[in-house]
Amino acid sequence: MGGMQRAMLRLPIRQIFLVVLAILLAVGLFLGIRSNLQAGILSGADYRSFVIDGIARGALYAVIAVGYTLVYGILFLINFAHGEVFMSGAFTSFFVARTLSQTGFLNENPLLSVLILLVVSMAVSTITAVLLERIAYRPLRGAPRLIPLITAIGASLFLQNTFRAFYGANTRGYPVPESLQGRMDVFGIPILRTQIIVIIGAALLMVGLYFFIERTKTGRSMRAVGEDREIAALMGINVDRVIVQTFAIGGMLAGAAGVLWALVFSQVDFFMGFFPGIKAFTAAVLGGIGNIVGAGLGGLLLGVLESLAPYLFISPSVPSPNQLTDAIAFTILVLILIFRPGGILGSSDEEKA
Amino acid sequence: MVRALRLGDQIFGGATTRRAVRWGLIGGAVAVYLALVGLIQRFQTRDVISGLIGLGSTLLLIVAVAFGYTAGKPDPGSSTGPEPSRAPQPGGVVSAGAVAGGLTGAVTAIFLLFASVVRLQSVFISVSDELLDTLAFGQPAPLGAVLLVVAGALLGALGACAHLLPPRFRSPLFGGLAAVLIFALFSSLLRQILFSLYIPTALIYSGDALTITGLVIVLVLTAVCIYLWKEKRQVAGRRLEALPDQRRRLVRLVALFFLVALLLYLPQILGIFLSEIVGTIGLFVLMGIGLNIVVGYAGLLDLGYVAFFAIGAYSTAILISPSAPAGSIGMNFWVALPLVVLFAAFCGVLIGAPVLRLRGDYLAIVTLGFGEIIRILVISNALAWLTGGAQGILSIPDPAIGGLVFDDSQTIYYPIVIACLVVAFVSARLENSRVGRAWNAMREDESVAEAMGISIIRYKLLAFAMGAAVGSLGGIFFAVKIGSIFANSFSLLISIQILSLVVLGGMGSIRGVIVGAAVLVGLPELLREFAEYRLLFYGATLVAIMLLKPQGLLPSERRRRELATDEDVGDQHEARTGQESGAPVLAGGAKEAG
Repeated sequence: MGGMQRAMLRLPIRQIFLVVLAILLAVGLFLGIRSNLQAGILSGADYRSFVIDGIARGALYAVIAVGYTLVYGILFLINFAHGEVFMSGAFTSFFVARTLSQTGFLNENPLLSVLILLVVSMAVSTITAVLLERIAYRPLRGAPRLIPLITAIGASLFLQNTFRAFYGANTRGYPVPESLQGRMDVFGIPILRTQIIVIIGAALLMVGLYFFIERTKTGRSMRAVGEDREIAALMGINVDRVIVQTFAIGGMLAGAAGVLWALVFSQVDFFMGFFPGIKAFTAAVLGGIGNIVGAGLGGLLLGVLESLAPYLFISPSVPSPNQLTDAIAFTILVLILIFRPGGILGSSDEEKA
Repeated sequence: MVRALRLGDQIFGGATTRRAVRWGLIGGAVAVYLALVGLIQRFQTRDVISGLIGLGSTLLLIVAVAFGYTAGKPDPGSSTGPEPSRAPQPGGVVSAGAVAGGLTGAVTAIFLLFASVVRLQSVFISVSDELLDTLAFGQPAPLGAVLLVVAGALLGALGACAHLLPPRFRSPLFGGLAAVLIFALFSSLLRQILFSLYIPTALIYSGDALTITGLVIVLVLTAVCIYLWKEKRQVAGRRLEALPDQRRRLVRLVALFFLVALLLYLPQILGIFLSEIVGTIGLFVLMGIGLNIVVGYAGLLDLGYVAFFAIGAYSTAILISPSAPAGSIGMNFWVALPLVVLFAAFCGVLIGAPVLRLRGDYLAIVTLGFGEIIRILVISNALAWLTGGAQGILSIPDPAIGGLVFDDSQTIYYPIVIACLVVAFVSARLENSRVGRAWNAMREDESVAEAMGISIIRYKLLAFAMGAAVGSLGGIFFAVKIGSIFANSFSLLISIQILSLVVLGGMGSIRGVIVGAAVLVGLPELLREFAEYRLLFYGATLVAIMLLKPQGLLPSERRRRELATDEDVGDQHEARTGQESGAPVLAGGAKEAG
């Protein structure tokens, strides 16, 4: 009797705590945003350009997030080293871009050059991802979940420092074709040309991926393995091969995102994968991990939130709110995991986490 | 190639050849990797034997020997079993080693030839002319390539020969070789120590490298010592067992006494520089023991552990520093200490409370997020009025008891060691207490533990609070040891560093934490000249330990039992234990996802 009472008492306390926390957060946010808007630090045009910045960045988060989502959907593994997969392609493609730029090819054939860079970067990232799976993760298939996670953290550190030792610790300026520099008016809104390329590129990649997963045989077998690995194996699906394919696709997209990222921010270094990696994971969780549409949605939402948040959520009296951008992204991650670990499109089933 | 393989099959069985070829190619990849990351050339700046061979070339040769040894390992089915049941065939073993070693050399040779034709340095910064010179043993590239293949094959065969030695000679030999390497790596340090012990070093060292006589002396002495130790250890153990209870206790007491005496006199023996390093190791031991409670005992992977380190350091600095940005409080260190520890424990509960329901990997990410949030807040201008932002907090006073001021590395060592001992004692007692058993049950299976009446919420919070309190101790002593703190000292890397040392030593094992800290914190401090490879080494360690020995170097008694290897399973053990204990988790995960 007493035990039951205690059990009944215990749950509501937690729920009440969470609800109160949520209400407090919501009220605080609402008041903060209203006062910030009334203070009117930024003009409408400013907000528009922040939103577009956010969309471009968010689109890249989305493309990287797919790598997390696909792998998590199948292996229940947070591939912590995915940011490094992204970095490996982008960093390597720098050397091709430099050569192209030195020969003048980059400015003469900007689109072809970007295509070449994409192919190089995707190839390198794919190789990195597949090697990673083969060497670091496959031997641990079926081990307790903590073990591959620690391996992934180690692999991330290892890859970062390997590429640092390969290519040097300096930040390199990524050459951007001249015709892709500057702004262009789209419906009367001036947008950076690289951002246009990024948004279009990311959209194409996401749509392509969606159809690949939904329509092709490989995509179907990937979904089947994600659903239930053992049954899929019984149905004659080569699970090992599907897992390799999953890593390869995630790597390919990360490589493509790497070049696009380098075009927007026009620099690369060995550490460039870390924060995009964690942000992309946040995006994947935000949208509902294991869900490709969710990854897209989560990426865009996170990108926009991140670029607006310092001006919307933080009181203007706080000095240099820009420094807190990353803290906001992490706060979003923490809040999502606490309140809705299933993400926007996922189930709100807490046990899944 | 195919025909060669088939020929090989006929000579000594197909599987062996294929294994040898595979290991040879992997060995070649490893050698080329070492060259590309610049380790070989960086090592080459040091001589192993004065004027004869550099450390870089030695590394290359070690790769060949190691892969020859691996390829020559007889009967792969029970590779790590104590001893192969049937005697290996000498011919097969040696030729397998030679094939693997030769291939290792051949791959390196191909790289050498390629790099001497195509200039790679504009991409791979480490591929310098000096590197190619090292790879070619100082000869022109084509001759160097031939040398590489021949030397590789010879050394591979030599490595494989180790399997033919009677086992009781094997470990003395390896130990002796390892000792030679250690003497070469830490030459300046060891020379100092030998000098202070009045042992003449001219015979062993010339400059920073060993002489040939020195090599022989070190090799033989170590080998003999290990041999005798192995022979006599069991006898000594048995004699100790045979002693009556009282005498045995006396032996223990004497041993304990010597240990304590050693700990007390250590700073005087080591001098200022080494005491500094030992103090740093002590800080990491503290934090390692703290994280060990969270990760090792309770099974909660905390990637934001640096947060507690930062909380400890900053609260101490704010409370005791006269130049704290928010105004001087000027509290006495010993008053501040318990307050900070309590505050950290409270923060641990605060961070732990909202994430209680999260399991495993999500918890890791959330804690990582918390750690980063705290670092960003600390460094930001927004909190600069409290934490000093990028300027940090300076002039933190040294702790003192009466007239005894702990103001240098040789004195601050004592409070750190005492803290370590206390924490280790508490942690060891906790492990086998009711609380420790509850954590253990929770780690193994949360649902079952809850069904058994263990309050998951209470014990998780307790683990977080304990871990936070102990971790903050590291921060507290860090602040007073360094005397000033900056936000950059509290990056995610610290969390990963602490996690690495816990994992290396063995999760749940206190001895493991100490060894892990000594290896992962102490070694890099001693090998400053290779500092840029430190993180590479951490990453490789984490992966290698998880792949090869997930229970760690010095597993706790309980973990050893959990992850026990059956004599005949060998390398496959973790896959098996993994499946046994991991299958329900995964199956559960799949169901929940569906």
